[in-house]
Order: sequence, then C-alpha cells, then structure tokens
Amino acid sequence: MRVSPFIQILTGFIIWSAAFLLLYATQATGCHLGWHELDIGPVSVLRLLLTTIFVLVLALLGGLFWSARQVKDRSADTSETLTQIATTVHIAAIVSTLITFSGLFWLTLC
Amino acid sequence: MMDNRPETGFETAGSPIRLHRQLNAIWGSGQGLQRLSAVNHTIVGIRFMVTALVFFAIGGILAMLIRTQLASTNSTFLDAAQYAQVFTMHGVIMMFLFAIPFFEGLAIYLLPKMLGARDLAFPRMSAYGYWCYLFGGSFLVAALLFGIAPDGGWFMYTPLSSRPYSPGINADVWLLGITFVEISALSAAIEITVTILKLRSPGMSLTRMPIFAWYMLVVAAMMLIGFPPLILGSILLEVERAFDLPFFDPTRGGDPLLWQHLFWLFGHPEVYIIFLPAAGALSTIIPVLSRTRLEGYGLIVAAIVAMAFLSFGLWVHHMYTVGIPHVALSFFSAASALVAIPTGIQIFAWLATMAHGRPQFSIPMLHVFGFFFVFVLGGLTGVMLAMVPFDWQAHDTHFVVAHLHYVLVGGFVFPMMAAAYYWLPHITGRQPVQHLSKPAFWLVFIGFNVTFFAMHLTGLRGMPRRVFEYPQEAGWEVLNFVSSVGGFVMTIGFALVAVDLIMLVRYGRRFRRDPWKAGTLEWATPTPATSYNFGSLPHIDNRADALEPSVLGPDLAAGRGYLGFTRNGWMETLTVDMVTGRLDHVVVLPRPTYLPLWTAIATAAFFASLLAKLYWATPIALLAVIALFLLWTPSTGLKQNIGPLEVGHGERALHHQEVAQPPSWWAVVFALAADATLYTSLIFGGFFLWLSAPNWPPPDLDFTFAGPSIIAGIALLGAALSTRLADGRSGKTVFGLAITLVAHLVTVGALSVVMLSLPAPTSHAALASALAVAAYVTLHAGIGAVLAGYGLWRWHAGYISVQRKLDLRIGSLWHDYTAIAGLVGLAFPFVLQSLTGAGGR
Repeated sequence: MRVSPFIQILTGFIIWSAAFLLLYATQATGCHLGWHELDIGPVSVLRLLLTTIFVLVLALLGGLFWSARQVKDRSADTSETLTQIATTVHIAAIVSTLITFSGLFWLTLC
Repeated sequence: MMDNRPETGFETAGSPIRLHRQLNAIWGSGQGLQRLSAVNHTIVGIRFMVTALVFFAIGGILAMLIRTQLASTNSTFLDAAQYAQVFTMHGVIMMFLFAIPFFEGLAIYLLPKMLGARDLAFPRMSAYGYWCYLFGGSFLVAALLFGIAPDGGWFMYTPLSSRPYSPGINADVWLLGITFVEISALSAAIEITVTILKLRSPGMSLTRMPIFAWYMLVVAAMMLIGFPPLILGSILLEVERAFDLPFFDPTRGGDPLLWQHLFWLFGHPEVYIIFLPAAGALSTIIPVLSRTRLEGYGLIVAAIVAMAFLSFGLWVHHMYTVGIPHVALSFFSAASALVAIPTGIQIFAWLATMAHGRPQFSIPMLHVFGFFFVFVLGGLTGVMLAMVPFDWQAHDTHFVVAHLHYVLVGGFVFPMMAAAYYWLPHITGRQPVQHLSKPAFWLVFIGFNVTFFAMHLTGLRGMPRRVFEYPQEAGWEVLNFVSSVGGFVMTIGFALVAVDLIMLVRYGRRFRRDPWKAGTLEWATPTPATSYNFGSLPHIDNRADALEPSVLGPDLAAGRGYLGFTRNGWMETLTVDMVTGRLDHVVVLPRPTYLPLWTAIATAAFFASLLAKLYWATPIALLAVIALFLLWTPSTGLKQNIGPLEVGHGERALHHQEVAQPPSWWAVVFALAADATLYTSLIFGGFFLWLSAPNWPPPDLDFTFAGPSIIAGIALLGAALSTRLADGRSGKTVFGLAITLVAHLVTVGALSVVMLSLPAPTSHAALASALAVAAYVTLHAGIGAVLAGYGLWRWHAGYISVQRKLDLRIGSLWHDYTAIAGLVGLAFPFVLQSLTGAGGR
C-alpha cells in the first residue's frame, strides 16, 4: 500500500501531540476525580493509567517506524528523499516521547 | 449542431516584446486610483512590507519612550497610565503589526516567483487580507493617538483586562483590532499553503522545492493551527466584556487561567511562526553568498517539521508559576528544552554550508553574522528559562524581556535586514551602494547588545517587567541608564538603515539579471518583476535552488516554456500534483477588482459597530460582508464545458472549474482545519473550566432541551446526506440543494430554541459555554443555508454541470463539517451536565 508522503512525515509527531494532550488531560482529570489516591499495589491508579498510555504510545510509534522501514518502493528520487525525511522525523518523535513524558514515573502527579 | 463552447485557442505572440505587451495588457493593474483595485501579488506583497515597516517605525518610537521613562529613577516623563498604553502598544505593534505582516508580505511577493507561478492561488484574498491588516492596524494606532489604546500588556491577561478592572474601551480595541488583523493572517496562511502545494511549475516535486517554500509551508500550517485559539480567546473575552458571559470570571465558574492557556497556545508557537520565515530566508541566502549548495536539505526539512510540533507542546512554559503539578510541568519543560535541538540542527547546517563554501562578506552576510551572535545568545537563555527552577527565579523580570528580544530581534530582525539587502535589488532593479550599510549595521548591533545585555542583569537583580518607575535604593539605575543609551544608539542605527535602503532604491547601481548568482527561480524574472512574472513557465528538472536563472530567464521571456501565449484575455497559471510535481490543471485567476477593498471596508464597519457598541448596525454590516463575498464568485465561473486546453510543449490540461480538487477546494479544506481547531479549543475550554475553575459545579444546572436537540441533530444529518444528491444533474441537484437549505434552516430554528431555553447564561460559565457552543453550531448551519442557496443560484445561472460541480463539492465539505461539529455540539451540554456531578470544588 502506498502511503501519502505527507502522512509519513507527519504521523510520528501527530501521535506525540495526541499523546501530549491525552496524558495532560488524563493527569488533570485523574487529579480532579481523586484517582491518585486510589492504590493498586505500590502505585496509584492514576500513575498506572498514565504509564499504560505512555507504553502504548511508544509501542505504536515503534510499530509505525518498523513498518515504514519495510516499504520497498523507493525507486523514485522523490520517494527516496521523502522517506529519509519521514524516517528522521519518526526517530525524533520517538526520542521526544521518551524525554517529554518520562517524568510520570517519579514526579508528583497532583 | 452549433458549437457554443468559448474560443479556447491561443494566440502566439511571435516575439518576446509582443508577448510582454500582450501579457502586460492582461495582468497589469492600472494607474492612479485604479491601483486600489490591484490584486497582483507583487503589488500586494510590497504593500504589506512597506506598511509593516511604517508600523515598525511607530513601535520603535514607543520603545524609545519606554527607555526614556526607565533611564532614571522615579521619572515623571510618563505617568503609569500612559506607560501602560505605550508598553502594551509597543508589543502589540511589533508582534502583530510588524513581524507577522512583514514575513507575509515577503512570502506573498516571493513565493510565486520562486515556485514558477504567475501569481498566488487567490489574489483577491491576499488583497482583502492586506486591507484588513491596514484597517485593523490603523484602528489600534488611532486609539493610541486618542489615549484609548490597549493598556493590559500585549498578552491581555484576565482579570486585569476584564470589564471590572478595565472599564473603558481600551481592551475592546485590542480584542477587536487584533481579531480583525488575524483575519488577514489566516487568509494569508491558507493562500500560502495552497500556493506552495499546488501552484508550482511542472516538474517541481516536493523534494525539488526551494527550501524557503518548505519553511513557509510549515509556517502557514502552524498559523492555521496556532491562530484560532487566540481568535477564540478574543471572542470569548469580548463577549464577556460586552454581554457579561463569565468565561474568565472566577466568581461565576470562569477561570483567568483559561485565557492564559488560549493565549499561549497561540503565543508560544508564534515565536517560531516569526522565526521560521527568517530561517527560511537564511537557508536561501547563506548558500548563495557562500557560493555553494545548502548542506542537509532533508535534515533541515525534518528539523522544521519537528520544531513545528514541539513548539506547540510548550505553551505552559509561560505559566510555570501558576500552580501546575510537577509532572505536567515536566512535560512542558522537556518540550521547551527539546525544541532547541531542531533549532541547533539548522544553525549547524548553516555553519557547515559556510564552512564548505567560500563566504562572500557582503552586507547581507554581515547581518547573517549579527543573527548568529544575537540569536544563539537568546536561544541559550531560552534553555535556561525552560528549566522550571530557574524560571521561578527569573519569572516576570527584565531577564525574560532581554531573552525575548534576543530571540525575536536575533531571530527575525537581523535575518530580515539580510533579506532586505538581498532581495531589494529584485524589487527595485538596483544593487546596494553600501556607503552607509556597514556603520548602520554596527550601530544597530552594538546598540542592541548594550540595551538588552544590561537588561539581563537588571532582571537577575530583581527588576520586574511592566513597572513604570523604580526607587533609587533598588540599585538598578546605572544598568537602566546604560540600556537607554544603547536603545538610542540602536535607533540611530535603524534610522541609518532606512536612509541606506532609500539610497539603494533611489541611486543604486542597475544590473541585468541575478546579481548574486543565485540558483533560485525568482532571479529568472525581469527585475523589477513584471506583473505576470514569467513570459512562460519553466519545466523544472533539478532542485530549484540549483537552476541557472541567467540562462532560464531569457528562454522563458521568449515564450519557450508553458503558457507562452495569451488566450481569451485569461490570467492563466498552472497547478501540479502536490508530491510529484506532475502537470495537473490550468488555473484562471481573477482580474483586478475593487471588491476586496469594499469587502474589507464592510468588515471594518462590522468591527467598528462592535467597538462603538452600535449593535443594531452589526447584522447590517455582516450581511454586507456576505453579499460582497458572493459578488466575488461570478467572474471565476464557467458557463460551458470546455475540455482540455493546450498549455505548450504539446501538453493539455483541464480548466480548474472542471477538475475535482482545484485550489479553492483545498482552501476550504484548510479553512475548515483552522475552524476545527477553534471549535476544539472551545469544547476543551468548557471541560477545562469543569476541571480547574473555582465555583463548580454550578447551582441548579438543568439542560432540559432534548426535543429541539434531537430535531437539530436529525436536520444536520439530513443536510449532509441530501447534499450528496446534488451531483450536477438536472432535477437531483435542485432537489438535493433545496432539502439541504431547508434542513439548515430547521437546525437554526431548533438551536435558537435551545439557546433561548438556557436559563440565565450570565449566571455561570457552564451555561455560557453551552450557549457559545450552540451559537457556533447555529452560525455554521446559517452559513450552510447560505451555501445551499448559493448552489441553487449557481445552478440556475448555468455555472454547474456534471463536469463543473466545484461549487457543490465545496458546499458538501461545509455541510459535512457542520454535521460533525453540530452533533458534537449538541452532545456537549449533556456531557457537561453529567460530569458536573462527578467533581467540582
């Protein structure tokens, strides 16, 4: 399947942006509703939820990166260059995700 | 059978001079008062830039008033009220009336020439945008003369800017004036996006685009997403001030922090929206002046895409001190630090380009070095401020003022001065004489650093920003005096730059073509450029920064490219497939007209009626705006099918009215994307208040209007589905459009009942939010009804057929969007009501 180069280039950071909003909204909602005071084992429900979202986002980004690397049709000059750009942006999105959200493992949630 | 098709053959000129005369007769804008009807991108672009420079001069004079006031302790030069207006208007003018319009003007002037097109996609829209900018900016400056200018800071924080604390019309001037100017910015963003994606020369694929086009594509996309939250915030605050709907009033379920979120959702990306066009100019200029090609083209594209997204993820770094939990602060702090990486990648790419080339130490390059020194320092203090503990110390001090000036002057003013010296020869046909250029640069450079480096120190010693006086015992006087002296030196430098540029325009050396030996297409036009840019359009088979304008230019002027002829007096240019650059279709652009000016005057009347609180005149002005916009459309329609047209080189392409996705279709897609951003901000705003605002849940919240909501929902779906019947065939089209029209009118009626059913919307933000969402959907259904009626008129006037159904396709986009947004809006009050039981403080 041929994917539009615009989608290839934008997907990684669109997911990063969506994760940003989702994690920020979940954290605020969880604090408002008191999920940080409910514990499941050693962690609160809120921290567990945020961590799950974080892991799922990373898995999604990793999966998309892997599938983009499998694309064989890079014959045209345009396609090759755009694929290189898309790959670079994807790596940047994965690194940004790791750095931006890693604080949710240890910082005060509310 | 008689053939009623219009004559679509073309007339070959025979000689370059005759071709020039023929094209000029079609594309020229006239003389004298006729110039007011000009829609040509060269004229509009220059107007934008010149007007922006006039505003820059006004903003600079205000800066001198600030520095005069702060030069000594307890100065009586300005009183507190005057100072508040002066520093607010300095920021407003420099951000909204200088920086954004100046780069818009540069892009409007350059892009068609760089992309190998004869004009922008929507020339009348850019002319309308210019008039809106001029009128909106003039509102603000006139208010300053009358002493009623905005005085709440360029960020207009609530509750200071709310009615109880700003009872005059100063804040209204900001809210309405800025919204007026933002119309210009949004129309430019759509114009630039569609032009870059579609109006390129055949063969210019995405990866052959000049790097400046990539930068402007990213910037325009950022404007589409970044500006709507500010427009929404301005509307909500103006509605609060005018009609007492309490979105930001904490005593009635509102929250001042909602304003800060909406403002900085625009405000921080804005810094990058200003920086990226300047970076695009640097990426274009540096390789040319270094006599080499740009290093890392692909890496730079990746960096600016990353930068665009990251810049949206750090809006809260202006709000570290408002009381946000640690983990949320860490998200924004990390994003703030991360954004330095793509910035650094570009800086290293430019350094590598210079290292691999043979830099030519001309005047533009001197300003490039000014950029490197100043911007890198601003970037370093930016990383410092991204760190939460340091920001808590330096928050709202002169350190932050110094940082933002290092970033904005370093990241925009120095590159734009480099761009002015680089491209003014293109605009004027004359080269710099360079007698004053070097002393002018050094005065600006030294004056700037003296002014703002000292301000870091006053900030670190605790001097808060926005204060109009300080006591002698504070120990800030010497540093402030040094800053003020530096400010005046810088001003003298800018005055010398202005004199130097005037000398260039008046007495510069004439040249033939491409004085810098650049490889981009704008230098293949005659200089100064003709109204049609190119006698014929090129086929691009190389990256469009490695062309040979000196060879290509005469060839195109002789008509040996595409469209090297005239046809029916049409203003023609070509479009391509967005990715591959394959020839797509022919666009016929509109002739010069006064309609953009009249429409902007009507728009000004709309805003003026709100400002003067003459609310009876507002609907009249709105109807005039709608009627004038409808008058724009007949001149671009076709009443017959004409089939493929010859475009030269033995190739043929369809007229834009006969294809599925011409530029106007894409324009509506991008306009709806901006619209959706505004709407999403509104919905999220409602939920933010539920989460964060005091005085929730509201007392006695009862949204009991299920009946009209269900009727509106069914009507919205009916409008979206019935429009699919309108396919350009006789019978079905009229039937489908008539049902769509009726369905939208039913929606308007049902939602009017909903709005009237809301009990006392001024009593609590929950009710005000529900009213705002219902008003949004009602407005969209109303516009949907106008579009359905317009479709019926176009059908009866003969503009629509099975092959020519662009009007129907555009209408369909609107009806589909309205249905989706409407269903979300209808559910909103019920979801909010159910949530209020689940929390509150």
